[in-house]
Amino acid sequence: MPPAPGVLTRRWPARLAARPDVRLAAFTLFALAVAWPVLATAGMINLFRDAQVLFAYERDAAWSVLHFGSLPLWDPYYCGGLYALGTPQSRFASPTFLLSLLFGPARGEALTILAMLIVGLEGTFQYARSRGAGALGALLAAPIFAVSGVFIASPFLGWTNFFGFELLPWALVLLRRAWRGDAASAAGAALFLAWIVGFGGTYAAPMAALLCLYELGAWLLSRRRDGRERLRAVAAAAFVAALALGVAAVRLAPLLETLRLAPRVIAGRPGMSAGEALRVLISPVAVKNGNLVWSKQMYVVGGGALAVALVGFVRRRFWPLIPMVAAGFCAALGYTLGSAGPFALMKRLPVYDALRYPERYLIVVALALAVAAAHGMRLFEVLARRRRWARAALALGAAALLVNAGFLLNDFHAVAAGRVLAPAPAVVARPFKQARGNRWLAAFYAPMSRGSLSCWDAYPVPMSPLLRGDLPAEEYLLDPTAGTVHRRAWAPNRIDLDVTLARPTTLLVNQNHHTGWRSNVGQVEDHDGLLAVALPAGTQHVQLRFRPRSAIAGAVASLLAVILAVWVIRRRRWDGRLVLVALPLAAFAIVAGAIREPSASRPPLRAPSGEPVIAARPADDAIRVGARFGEGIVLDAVRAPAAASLVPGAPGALELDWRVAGAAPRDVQILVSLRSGGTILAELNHELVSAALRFGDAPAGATLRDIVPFVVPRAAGALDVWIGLRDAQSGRPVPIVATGQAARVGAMLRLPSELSSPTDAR
Amino acid sequence: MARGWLVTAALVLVAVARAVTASGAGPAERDDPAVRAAIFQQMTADEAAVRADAARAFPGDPWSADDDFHNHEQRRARALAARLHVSIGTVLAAVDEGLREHWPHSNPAPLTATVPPCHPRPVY
Repeated sequence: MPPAPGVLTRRWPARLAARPDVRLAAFTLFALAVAWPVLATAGMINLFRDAQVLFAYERDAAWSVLHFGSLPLWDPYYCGGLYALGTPQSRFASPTFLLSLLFGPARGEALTILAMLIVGLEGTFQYARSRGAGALGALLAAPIFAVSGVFIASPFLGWTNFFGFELLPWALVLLRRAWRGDAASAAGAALFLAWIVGFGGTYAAPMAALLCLYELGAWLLSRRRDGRERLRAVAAAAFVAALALGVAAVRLAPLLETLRLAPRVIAGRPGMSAGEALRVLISPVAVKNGNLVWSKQMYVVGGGALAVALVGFVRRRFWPLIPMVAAGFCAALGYTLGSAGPFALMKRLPVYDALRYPERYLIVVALALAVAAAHGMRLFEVLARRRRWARAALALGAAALLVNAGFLLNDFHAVAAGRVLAPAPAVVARPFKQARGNRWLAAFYAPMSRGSLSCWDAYPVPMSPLLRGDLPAEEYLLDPTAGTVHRRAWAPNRIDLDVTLARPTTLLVNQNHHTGWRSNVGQVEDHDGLLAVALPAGTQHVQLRFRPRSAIAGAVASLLAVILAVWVIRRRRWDGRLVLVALPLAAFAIVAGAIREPSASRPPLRAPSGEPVIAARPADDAIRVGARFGEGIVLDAVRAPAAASLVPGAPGALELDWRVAGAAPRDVQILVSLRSGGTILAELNHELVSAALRFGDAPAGATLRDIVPFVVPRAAGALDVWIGLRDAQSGRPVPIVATGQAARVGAMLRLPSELSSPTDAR
Repeated sequence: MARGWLVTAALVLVAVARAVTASGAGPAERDDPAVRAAIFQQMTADEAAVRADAARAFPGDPWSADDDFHNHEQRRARALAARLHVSIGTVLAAVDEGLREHWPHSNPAPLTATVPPCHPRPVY
């Protein structure tokens, strides 16, 4: 029932909404109601595949601290060991880690969700207020963002790190205060931005950076005539950026190291229509058969919210956010807007090129819509003082937002009820060993002192092919006859061994190598990706320690930056002493320079089959083609299985040896089809050379081995291979300028079976 | 102190109490070597066939094929745990123990104790 029209025009509702204690109580009550199903099942673990991995990251970090008294630097329980701080999706570098330590990771996760909901509700309120909305409208509109679809879906998917988006409005509102000269707010903004980085995920931090730039740009535009204010805002922005980098250094430096060594490889041209995007904003998140009904349908704000937000668009004070709504909405459409759309353009930037899903920009739209709805309410409030009809409109608007909040709460409960849960696994205290494992149930292994070698993450985790899940001992000698190894002590970051050797040999540890590992004896080596130590003969007590330079230097910088932030918050003044903000970054450079660590080189690019992608020249048994596409892409050779070796229904593989010899379009689709006579038997089109490399990123002159797997068609006789290239941005074929040994048919090259099957040709 | 803060504190206490008292542990299980051996048998009986199907589904992509196998394995582990009234952890522990100690199995080929390095696909 809508509230009585007269009530909302009185001053007390707005006054109550403006009181921090009352508002926080209201937000806490609402967040508690929303998160109740998660709290009620807090002792269980979520069996959804992503939840298993992401929960394991948090659990392993907490276990490292509580059980071993170690900082969570190395996680030996997953993928054969990985750099925990450098893992993009871990979220333990955040104040909420205290909840995991205090209550355990499962119960801590539920409390983290509650805490982040409260933080998000208040942050949205504050942001709407800073954008000129009234207190009552901001209060009622806060759930539109803070309980929007992404936060409804995240507990189901186990994407707790997506609650980092709840911090966005805080960063923005504090930035806006910083432009006005509040040094404490500048420090606060830096702390929130660093928190976003620490809470993990690959989207929140890049989107936060974009929004910060937007806020800065909007402020500078609004102060066109006041050079001094503009200068102050730019200085504040530089201060916030430097301080945020300093505070986040302990997480950011390992993260950048990981992304440099093992970049995410993304292909595809995702997108959706404007109609679909609008539908996604009003359709509830839904679960069926243990999965979301539609993976893009997780950005709901609600129809009521959208209706009131549209009213808010009329208000002049909201207008500065209209470009943000438009840009966010257009970015969410992805490649539907072609290669000149915001998403495609941002994909040309580092970091943003690793963002796969354009629809996630609807999170930005949700925040702006919450502010717009608050403005809609404010407009009704102002009009209601003079016009009778506006009182009814105000009551209806309030009712719409209350019903909308109920709708979001109900959706959260429905989706949470769709989770498949299991009791948390019991802890089995025994010596640690790697198991073959299963990443789909990754959270079950660490409690039984096992690591899961079976591994998935969104980036290619560097892993040794020599890892085994059935070894009698996890530490062993390359030459087993050279001596003995006995484990004395073990923790995630440290391994103590007694080694007696009759002659020098290599000690192997059944974990992945990382340059941060150090040994008190011998030399730490990378043995085909395995952690190894070259040891001299004799009896020694080997102490292996994981002390990565990026974490140590980052920790020093973060500590200094936090101290500086606290000092600035207490002092609240801008003056020359704030150049001290450079100190953490300088400290990082000095400490990183002082610690000797072998530089980690990026492992060679490999095809999914494990074969290297880049070679000096085509294989000797490949058939030369010598065709040229456009100005810069040469098909040097082709290697195909002999026709006699093809078994229908069995796997086979083609190898196309490409070379970039000039300017190549950045995004090229490689068109490959297997044909028999005129009939297409298999389309093997793809975007990346060996699913790993774009032509635009390829080293000039090298042979690029494009290994194209296929299943031999049932009707296969003699197969022709047809090859073409298409510019993915324009959709036009890349012209063939030289056919070499192949024949041209339209925009494609045709390699007859005699040419592509060398055994037959011989 | 404003009453709103007290209400907030009380609500936070309610939340903590609910999270802390939420049931979490499964029922206690009897350790039965025969059950574990049977679980291992059932979990591994057709591993070769499942891996062959996965290899056909993902030709030339050993990581994806192995991941597909593990998806099949996890579904079977969950179903078996439900059928035998044991925890999922017990099923996974039996597989680990059997692989490590070379328990007898009816899979026509030796069981695989390694995994291909993580190589997520560029398009999902």
